[in-house]
Amino acid sequence: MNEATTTARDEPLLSVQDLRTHFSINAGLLKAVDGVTFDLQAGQTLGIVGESGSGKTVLSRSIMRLNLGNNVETSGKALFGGKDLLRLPMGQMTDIWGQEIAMVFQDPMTSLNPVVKIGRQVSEHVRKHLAVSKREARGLAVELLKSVRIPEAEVAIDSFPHELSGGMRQRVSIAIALACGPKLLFADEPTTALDVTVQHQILNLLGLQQSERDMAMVLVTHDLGVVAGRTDEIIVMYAGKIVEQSRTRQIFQNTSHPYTEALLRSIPKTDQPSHTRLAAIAGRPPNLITMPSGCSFSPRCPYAQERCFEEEPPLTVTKEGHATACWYQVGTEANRAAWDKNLAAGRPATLAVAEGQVIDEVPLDIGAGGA
Amino acid sequence: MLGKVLAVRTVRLIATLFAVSLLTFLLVEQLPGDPILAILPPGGLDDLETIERIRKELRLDDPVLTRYFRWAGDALQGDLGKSYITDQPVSDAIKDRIPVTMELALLATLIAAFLAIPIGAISAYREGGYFDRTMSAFTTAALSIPGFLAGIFFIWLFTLKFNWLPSTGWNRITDKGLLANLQTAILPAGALALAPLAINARLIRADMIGTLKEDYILSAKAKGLRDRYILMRHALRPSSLTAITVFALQLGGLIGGTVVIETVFALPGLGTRLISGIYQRDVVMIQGITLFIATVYVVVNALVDLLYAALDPRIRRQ
Repeated sequence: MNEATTTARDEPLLSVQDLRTHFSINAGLLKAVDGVTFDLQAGQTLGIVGESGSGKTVLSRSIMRLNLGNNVETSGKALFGGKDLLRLPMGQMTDIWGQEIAMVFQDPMTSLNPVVKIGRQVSEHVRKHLAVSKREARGLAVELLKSVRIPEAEVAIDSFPHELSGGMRQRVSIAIALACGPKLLFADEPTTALDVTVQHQILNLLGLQQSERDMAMVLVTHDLGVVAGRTDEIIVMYAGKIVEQSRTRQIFQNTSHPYTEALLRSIPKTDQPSHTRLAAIAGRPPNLITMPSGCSFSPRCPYAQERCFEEEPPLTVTKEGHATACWYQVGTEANRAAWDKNLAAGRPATLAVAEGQVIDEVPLDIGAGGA
Repeated sequence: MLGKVLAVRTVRLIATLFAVSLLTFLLVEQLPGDPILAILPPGGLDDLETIERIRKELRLDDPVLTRYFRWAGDALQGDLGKSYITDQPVSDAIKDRIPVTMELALLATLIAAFLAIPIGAISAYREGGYFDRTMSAFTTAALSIPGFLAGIFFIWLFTLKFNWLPSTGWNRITDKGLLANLQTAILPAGALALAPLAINARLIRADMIGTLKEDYILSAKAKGLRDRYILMRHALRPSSLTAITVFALQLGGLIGGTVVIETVFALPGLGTRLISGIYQRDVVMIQGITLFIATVYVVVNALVDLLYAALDPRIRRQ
């Protein structure tokens, strides 16, 4: 979050090693997460960014062992305080859940129980984990709701979720997650279901609580704009794999992977004239059951060369701590040569970027005004 | 807001009761056979003068609607008339018999609820598991066996085989105490409970399987709550609306539906009185008891609506 907390500590709080989560479904084996490795130090913030279906939510749920169903196969390691969460008996997981690791879910409309009062939902797990009395729990619930800036907390604890707005409900979810003082917080798209005006408040609240409590946080989002300035490190995921991983500033200043570049390009900018066409990424995320050979982003990549369709690029550390999985990294000579070659050959994905327009789904004659 | 809702529901309740009473009266009226013939002394069938005199006395020569409104008006004041045959006021007969029927219905509902909730919840929690499949077989069996057969089976098992419980008769709580009372009540109540038990276990299971897929169950799990706590505190209430509706309908239905079981176990309940009324063509008794049963049914249903609001706070506002 800020420079003071970025001093590296010896032992990472969370160390994920070669994590794979595969679902057996009728159509075949779905590799939602396929070999993810990263470390997270205590008190730090990690952003996990990717499109829908990139595996970012499954990744965080895999670490928390919250993928329900009996068709899930998870392998690898997730070391938390020296213990491998993936091999812990479920009985011990219930002691870690809520108390050591907590999660804020995407949609506050569905993640709170509609028939249980707010106060109870905020404090029931505190009573279980920390063995406090009913009266103390009530006081604690009020304190927690105040700490997430819920007005009239004494009234709010006796209300039901449907009596609160979406933003207030997400504040309640955050209060629930913070209640037992966890060391690590997963925030899975915490603002996606909320109004834009509320999004900033919620993100600021999360950041504030995090630095106050010296808690580590994993912020999962599809929006690079959300993680910019709020995270220490960023992982960009595509089709279940990490494609780029670096310190936040590096990701924005020395963007190396074409997918990250495309994500950055697709953020609307306020200085553009209105009605400027949004830069979408051509094509769709790949089918996770029948993956393309070579680089999984190659069908949509403007720089893709023959090698990209045949050989999968490994994740290699190029600069100090900056890892990228690409044969023709953005900013290199090879990348520029690939661009020129594709442009000359008229590769559609390249032309789409060159024209700053989408040729895939939207006809060109709609909304072309402005620029 | 709440006042308006209550007013609307009360008006609806009164309208329903009016329709129910009219139908009851007219249907019994349509039964074949002249009630007067049942009253006449043996050999009096040819005595047309006496027949006419009785008809006048009982004011049976009035038009149907006149008689209906007279009957309904009296019923509103708690007077359901007197049996033509035994001269017993219908309300006395109901007062005398209802404790037995009511206890049977309540006890059956209690047994059904007490067993259906854990069976449904555990089946949903371990969907497709050994317990779930066993209970699925059990509920299918319980649903396909008529209550009276189950009753006869119970008598065979618990009376003839083990000789634990009496097969027939009734001990009043006031006479012999609770334990002796339960000894005579438990078998018929158990036979009555089978079908509601099976239906509700299935309803709760089905609803709960849906509820357990909700996000708030996952978030409860992520809070580190134990599964049993999540099942009972977070999943049961949202999963019980359908079951509550059906429970209430069944309770209403049971009060009228104990007829067969009361007969099998020879119990002095409302059902056996209704049956004897039918055998004797005791029109007033049939009408009175039927109206009473129907009223209980309608009122119980009205109460269910209010129960919804208690279970799901979101309904309170509408």
